[in-house]
Amino acid sequence: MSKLEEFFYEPIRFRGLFVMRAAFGLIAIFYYLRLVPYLQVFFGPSGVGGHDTAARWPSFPIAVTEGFEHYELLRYVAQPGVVWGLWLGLLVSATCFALGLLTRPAGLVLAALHVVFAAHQPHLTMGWAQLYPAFVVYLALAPSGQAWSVDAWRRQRKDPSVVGSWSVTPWALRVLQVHVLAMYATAGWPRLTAHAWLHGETVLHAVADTRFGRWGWDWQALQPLLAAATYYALVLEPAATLLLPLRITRRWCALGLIALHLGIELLADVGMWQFMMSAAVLAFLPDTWFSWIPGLRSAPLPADLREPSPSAYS
Amino acid sequence: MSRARFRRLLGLSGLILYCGLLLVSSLPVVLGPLRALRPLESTAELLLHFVGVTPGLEVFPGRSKARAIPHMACFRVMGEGDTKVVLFDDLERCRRRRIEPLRDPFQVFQVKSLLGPLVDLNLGHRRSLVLEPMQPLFLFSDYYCHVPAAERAHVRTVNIDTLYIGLNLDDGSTGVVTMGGRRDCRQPSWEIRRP
Repeated sequence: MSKLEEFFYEPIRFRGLFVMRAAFGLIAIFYYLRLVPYLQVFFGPSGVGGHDTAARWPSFPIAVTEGFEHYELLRYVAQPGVVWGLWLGLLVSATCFALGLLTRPAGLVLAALHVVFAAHQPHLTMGWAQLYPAFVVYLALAPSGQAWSVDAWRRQRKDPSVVGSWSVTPWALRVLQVHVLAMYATAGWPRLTAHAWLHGETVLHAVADTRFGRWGWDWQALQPLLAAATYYALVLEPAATLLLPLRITRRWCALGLIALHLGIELLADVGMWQFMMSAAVLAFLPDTWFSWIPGLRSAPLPADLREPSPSAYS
Repeated sequence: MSRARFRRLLGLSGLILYCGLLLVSSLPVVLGPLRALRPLESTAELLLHFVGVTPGLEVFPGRSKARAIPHMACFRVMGEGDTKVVLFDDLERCRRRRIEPLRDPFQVFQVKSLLGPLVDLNLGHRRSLVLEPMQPLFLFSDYYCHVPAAERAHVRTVNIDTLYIGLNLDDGSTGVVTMGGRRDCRQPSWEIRRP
């Protein structure tokens, strides 16, 4: 029990938390700005599966995104202006969250508004939108606005004696780490019995399909390379559930995963999956690896927070 | 026990429970052989589902053994009412076999939504648009029935013609399948029609 208590509550020094907060905010800004030209088509009352369709076919059982059925509210919105207002609110909260302005409320509002939008269109996001709000809530509950944020800057401006700190009570970060493991377990292990994965063809499926692929190349000719990429993902993602918890392999596994996600992003567009998972995997990197980032280089620690041993996290 | 200590232990219990639910619900392969643990896994999934938490997802399950995969799809959506009106048309891309990735979010959304139902219908597996996998076809056709251009032409039926290009995984060759159908805007049903 004391080990678990230590795991969740013992303060750690982890500058990556602030970078993760900014990354998750930017993901929402980037994604929702891209949708501007079609906002009313995707989410508006006269859009696909919108209020007007629901009103015309009141008994038709229109599906919503799995897990978000309690949050499907846009079907009741008859005014396009309300959808614009919610979208604007989401962008403002995402911007505040990225900047660390009113960090906790901004994060919670961002997660809530994202759920409202994501619930409405089950086929729009390839699933990443279902995991995104949980990660944002964890980051909002963690003291991710404690530093590298407008909140911290305002605190210091108000009272110059306030000393910035990278040390945090990590329970929300730990939950995020466990959720990342759960994600890789769900995605990774079933692949070991899946035909296209075992035959090295899944990456070809993704890149040759113009719904996902970014490049119109002759992928068949590159199949040996794509097979190697498939086997890399086939091995690494299930292995991550075992390697990320181990201190000795954690950082290298996390780097391998980030390389995997950015590689997929280079070849295929599957929504925000790759950016989101890359940002989430940052939770497994050592604190010192973030020390090159301007604004995170150095800061004295308050006396009441002891410096954890190098092995405590990194 | 102090109040602070009590609150800390209570919080710890909640954290352990939540993390346990995440892990248990995400390990179906590991739990598979242990049938006694299946109810535990289902309960964990249900509890997380209730609060809207998804432990994880498979993006590309890769379970299909088909030797042909989707390569590209193009559509022409035509409304028929007082006059015929073209509501969407990118068939030319597929006719020219100009294989190029889709960039436009609406086109990507449309292809993702329509291709599955149209392939299913074309193969004769399903008919009812009420079934969940068919619903995107109903929702998109309903949308096209009522876009401003369709309203102006008093559109009563919407026809969707599709060119679907598949890629043969064994030899890299491509093949074209034409699919089509018609939606009466007053009915939630789909009539298959070869273009």
